[in-house]
Amino acid sequence: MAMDNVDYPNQTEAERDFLIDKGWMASTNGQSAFTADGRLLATGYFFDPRELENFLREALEKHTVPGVATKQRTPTDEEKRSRASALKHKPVVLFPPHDAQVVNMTWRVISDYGRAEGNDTSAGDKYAALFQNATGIDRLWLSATESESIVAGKWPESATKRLARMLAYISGAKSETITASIKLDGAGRISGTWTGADGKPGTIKGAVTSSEGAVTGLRLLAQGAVRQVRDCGFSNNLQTIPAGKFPRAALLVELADTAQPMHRVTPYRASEHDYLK
Amino acid sequence: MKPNALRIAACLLFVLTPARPCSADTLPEVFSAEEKKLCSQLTLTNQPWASPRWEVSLTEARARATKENKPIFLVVNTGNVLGFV
Repeated sequence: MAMDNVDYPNQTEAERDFLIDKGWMASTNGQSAFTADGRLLATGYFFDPRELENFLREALEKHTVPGVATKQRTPTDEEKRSRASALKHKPVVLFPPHDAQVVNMTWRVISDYGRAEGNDTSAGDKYAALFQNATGIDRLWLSATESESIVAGKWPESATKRLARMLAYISGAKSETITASIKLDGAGRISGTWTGADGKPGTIKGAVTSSEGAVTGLRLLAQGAVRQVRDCGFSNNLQTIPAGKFPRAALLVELADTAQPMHRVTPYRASEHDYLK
Repeated sequence: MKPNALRIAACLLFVLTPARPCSADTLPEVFSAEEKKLCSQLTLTNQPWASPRWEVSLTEARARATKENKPIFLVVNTGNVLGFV
């Protein structure tokens, strides 16, 4: 399973207690293995696939030997006073509203900006080049009203504003000041513009299909200038852009596969009070 | 594949499921060849790390692990869960 270690939005307080000794406070990146009844098998912090393979082997060996793994335990007094304990009371946004449609947003830098600049999150220069070519991911929710509007042939302004939060993020602009405009024509074609990093113009292009009153297909591609964004890893490939450079990036927005539980991962900004407004 | 690797693959809490047909295939033609290539690079169905059935609820993962008698492998990332996988 996979979880966010910043806001823990899709964990209940009881789940956070269960995970307190299982690496949920990993900084930036971490892995652990445990049993359904709470026995910790192994925990660690790996970038290297060979090290991760050894970690998994160790965990599986412990899983096959009764009594070797650490039993589920109650948090110590120190843990109760820890940051983890305090954080367990953070707001919970478990999963998308039942009537929301989820779209994936994936992005990558598509123009050359020279040597990738390593940082703590990329484990220094060692993996910087890999980050440079990696794909970042987040999700975006469309409300039922917005989906209805799209089916009716009108792109909702509220959806533009929500997408603009992401465009602002990758271009380094403030959400309230970024310029983005999206139109939907009668044939299901999407077009638009946005202002990327350093004021450079960006494009938006895409298409939608609908059937029986529901959006059944959506693919939108935004391209434009981006800049270095460092926030402990969320920005993925944007963190290794050298300061002062504005390479082009592509952001793909498309309907999520609801058969894959991963579509329920909470969007980065879903805990903002006005996210769905 | 080596036996150990097979064992690891079998014991992870993954169920590999075939990718569903992309609904985008029926969308109106709007993209150039280069844009189609970008879409192909970016679509989630073409990201190797996105093909396992990753659970995102601990409670559901525990229920599945109990049912399948498998351990749970937890990946923790900042913000973009699985973005580094």
